[in-house]
Parts: sequence; C-alpha cells; structure tokens
Amino acid sequence: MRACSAACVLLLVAGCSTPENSCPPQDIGIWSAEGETEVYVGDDLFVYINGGAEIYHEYGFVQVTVQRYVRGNDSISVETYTMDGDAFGIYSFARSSSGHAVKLGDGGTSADYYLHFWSGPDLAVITAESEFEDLGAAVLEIGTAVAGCLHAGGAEPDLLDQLPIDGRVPGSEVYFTGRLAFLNVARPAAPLFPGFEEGAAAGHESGQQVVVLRWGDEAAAEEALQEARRLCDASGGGVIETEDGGVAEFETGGHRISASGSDNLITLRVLREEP
Amino acid sequence: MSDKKNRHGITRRDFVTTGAAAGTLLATGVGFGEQSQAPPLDLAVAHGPDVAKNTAAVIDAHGGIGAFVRAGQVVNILPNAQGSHPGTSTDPVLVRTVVDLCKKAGAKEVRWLTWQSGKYFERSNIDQLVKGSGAKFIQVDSNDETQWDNFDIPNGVALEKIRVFKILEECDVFINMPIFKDHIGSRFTGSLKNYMGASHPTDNRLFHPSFEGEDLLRMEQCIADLNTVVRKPDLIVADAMTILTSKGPFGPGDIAKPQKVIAGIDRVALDSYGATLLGLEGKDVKMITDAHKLGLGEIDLNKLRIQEMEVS
Repeated sequence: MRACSAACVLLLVAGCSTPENSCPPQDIGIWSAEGETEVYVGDDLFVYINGGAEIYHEYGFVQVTVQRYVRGNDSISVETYTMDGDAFGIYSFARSSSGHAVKLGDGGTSADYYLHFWSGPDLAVITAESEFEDLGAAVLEIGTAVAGCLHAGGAEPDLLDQLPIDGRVPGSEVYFTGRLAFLNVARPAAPLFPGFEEGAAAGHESGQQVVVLRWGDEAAAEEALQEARRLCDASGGGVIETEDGGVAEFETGGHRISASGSDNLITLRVLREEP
Repeated sequence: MSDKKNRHGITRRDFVTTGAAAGTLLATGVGFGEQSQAPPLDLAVAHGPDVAKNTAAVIDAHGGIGAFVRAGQVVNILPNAQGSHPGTSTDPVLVRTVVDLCKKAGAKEVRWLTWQSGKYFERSNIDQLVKGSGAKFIQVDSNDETQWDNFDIPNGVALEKIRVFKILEECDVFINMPIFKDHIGSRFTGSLKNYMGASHPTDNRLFHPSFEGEDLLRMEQCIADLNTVVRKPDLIVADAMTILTSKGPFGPGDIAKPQKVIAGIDRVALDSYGATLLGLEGKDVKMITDAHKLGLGEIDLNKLRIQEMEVS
C-alpha cells in the first residue's frame, strides 16, 4: 500500500526526468540488498525518524526509500529522500561541513563514513553503519550506483548568488526556507527575523556567518528590520544604529549581528560569539 | 595509594575528581568499593574502550546495582534507539550490561519500554543483543488511550498537559538510558529529552513551534515542563562512548569518541556534564537551564561531586 502511494506521489514531482533504472538497485558489486526496501511517505517519516524529521518536512519532504546493503558483517544504508522541488536545500543543510566535494548527481559531499548528494528532487544519503577497511571506497561505490537511478535536472537557488564570494568558505553554503534550518545556521539571528520567504547562508574565512534573507518586497523587508529592532529590545538585547541608518547592529545573548537592507533583501553578519 | 586493579580493571590511583567536592574525595582516600561517610556521588564517569566495563564501573561507584535494584522488583528501562547511523542510539552493550546486572540482583522482570516501531530497535541492533538477556520488550500502542496517562503540568511554562505511557509509573525501579548527542532543535539531547520516548508521539510534535510568531525555542521549555511530571529516574546510565556531534539526533554527521559512560540520578547534572562532551556548557542549552530553573537538578558542575575513573 505504501509503495503504491509512493509511486503515485512520485508522479506528482514536477520538472524532473524519470529515473531509468530501478531504484535502489538490488545488488551493487559484491554488496547485496538485505531485506525489503522501506518506503515512508508524508507524515510516515515520523515512523522512520524519531526526532529530526521536522527538518525534512520544512524542506518539502515527499517520501524516503531506505535500503540496507551487506557484505559479510559490513553494512551500508542508503536513504533516498524525494522532495517537492529541487533537493539542493536539504542537501546543503544535511551535508558534512567538513567533507570534500564529489561529482555525483547535481553535487555531492563525502565525509569520513558517509556521503550526501542531490539529483533533481532527490537527496541520497549513503552511510556506513560500522567501521571496516575500505569504507570510503565502498560508500562511494554504492553512491555511484544509486546516482544512476535517481531523478535528474536540478538547479541551485538563485539566492545563493547574493552571498558574497570573497572569503566564502567553499562548501559552506546552506539554502533554507524555514525557521528550524535558519536556527541551525545562525542561531542568534533566527529569533529576530521571522517571516522571510527564503534564505541563504555561508561561512566566511573571518569566522563570520553571512546570511541573506529575502522578503516578498522592499516594504516587507524594511518592516522586518523594524520588527527585529523591537524583538531585540524585548529580549533584553541592544540595537546600535549607524549614522546613515543603513546598517543596524544587534547585540543579543552575547552575539553581535549587523544587518543591512537592500531592495527586498536583508544581509546579516553574525560578527562574534562571546565565550 | 595502591595501583592494584579491581575486577573492572580500575586503578585507585587513576581516580580523578572534579567539582567542589574533589578535595573531599581525595582527602578521605575513598576508593572503589569502599564505604565512606562522604556525601553520595552525584556523577560517576568511567572512561575506557570497553563499554561493558565502563557501565559496570559507574554503577559500582554508586554502590553497585544492589543500591538500586532488589530481588523481586520490576525494573523499567528507557534506552534511546534512533537507528543505524553511528552515534545515534544507546550502545546495545550498555543496555545489555544494565539488564544483566538487574537480573543478577534478582529483578523479577526488566521491561524495555517504547512506543516506537520495532524497526528502530532492529536498526540499532539493540534488540538482537538484548533479546537473549530475558528483558521483556513492551511496545505501547499510541492509538490506545487506555495505555496513556494525561498529566496536568501545574508548573509548566509552555506546556499545560502531556500524555505519558502509564507503564512508566508501574515499576519499582526506573532506569533512564540516553545517549548524549547533538540535536538540531535543542543543540543537545540527553537525559531530559530522552523522556520524549515516554510521552505521546503526537504530543511531542506539538513541542515544535507551529506558527510563524511562536517561540523558536519552545521545544526546550516543553521538555523541561515534561520532566516536572514524569516519574523521576532511580538511576540514569548515559552513553557517551561514540556520539554524534553534528546533524543530530538522526545523523549521519560528525562523530566523537569520548569513550565514557556516566551514571547518576540528577537529570540536569547528567546533561550539564554531557553538554561538555559536545563543546558546550549546561548554560548554553536552554532545555538544561529551563529544567534547572524548574528545580529539576543542579546545572553547576562545580557544585557536584563527580568521580571520574579510568577503566582499562
């Protein structure tokens, strides 16, 4: 029943090509699929993930398929999350911040025992469940096989272009549309700036976190800056205005955040965190 | 001081203590398995590569399993079984060790409680290891209201009511068995948050802010509120052998290997210590400060009597 629902939902995922091969594959090299493929659709994600499912829903979760592969005592899990739009957002949030880029799908990041990559609306997460000698190569081998059976044709959000390039830490970009993701990428700033439509963040080599938030129009962005001033005051923080009024600095909970508006965008720099 | 090892491979001279009571513990020369007039330990911390030895050592440091479990008693346990990603579930060997100790103490029954699908436990390999121990697996039906108590929360700040499975109260001894790790909502999860494994899953979802203007950190206060009405733990044995330090609670993410097991009965104290393993302090985690403000335990590690030991 669930598998049928999943297939129906998949047909509704627009703007992407249909995978040609069965996914996930039954066998990959000497790795064999163990047990049935599990499929969780919509709110059933809470059955699969107890704690942390909310972030997937925030990014437009549709369904996840889960398959385990074994080779003797070694095991690797493959989770393929399908979202209601391009999966770059959840990929950028979930990937390792200390991993290295790999060319899989529309982009991937490999860390010591796991690998994330996205392809159109799909996010694949390949995880070694135990430690073994050729772990990195095995994770990549399985990832490569899975990449061949996913949807394709995704594009990164335009908002990423608004992040400053100079000094940006490669691979640190995160795209988000919800408050839980915002809270995780810039915790001190998130409570001050509700109501945005989308956001992008990246680390800067200085240690700052740079965030760009987009509102529907310029008036809404201006109003959001006023609301941030009010929220900061209400929480016991302080607001420092520059002479020309173009930039405000918020002091909240030991952090300093500079904010500047332009058109319907607000750019934040989380300047420091006191010990 | 002798460096002769006891049966857990612990050397007396390996003892290290932290906190305000450290001087007292060292001055009295109290060692493993000895009686003393010193105040009871708040936290016992065992560090070493063997989770079973660490687990036995921290329980022994609190006076042994007999200080908590007596013959004929019913024991409820609440491990965290998240899945197969490394560092996300309570170590199966830790769970098995506690169950075996309870049985050895003569427990009539050890019951592993959950409302989760059995698949969680299959994925975490806990069930495979614990099945042979004689522990009874009790899966509470979240759709059967008769299995749930509906608590008013008179001291709640964010929560007014919560459903908790009845069977949690129906025991002589309750042992909470969390794993310390990262959490995207609260930065940290441990003893306090593990109680969400006993509260109703539908109610748990309401912990998260549901509308635009709602407090983003609501979940943390809700967890503290929940802890004011649930059964207090008779013992907490927390896993910090291999822990997820980012992308928690489900992962995969960065992993650290503190190789520690920690035991005590103060939820706030346990979590305040656990937070340090993720580079935080108790005061950095709103859930812990909220629980401290509600009088649920001590957040200041300097006010605790902590015994740290090396286990080879």
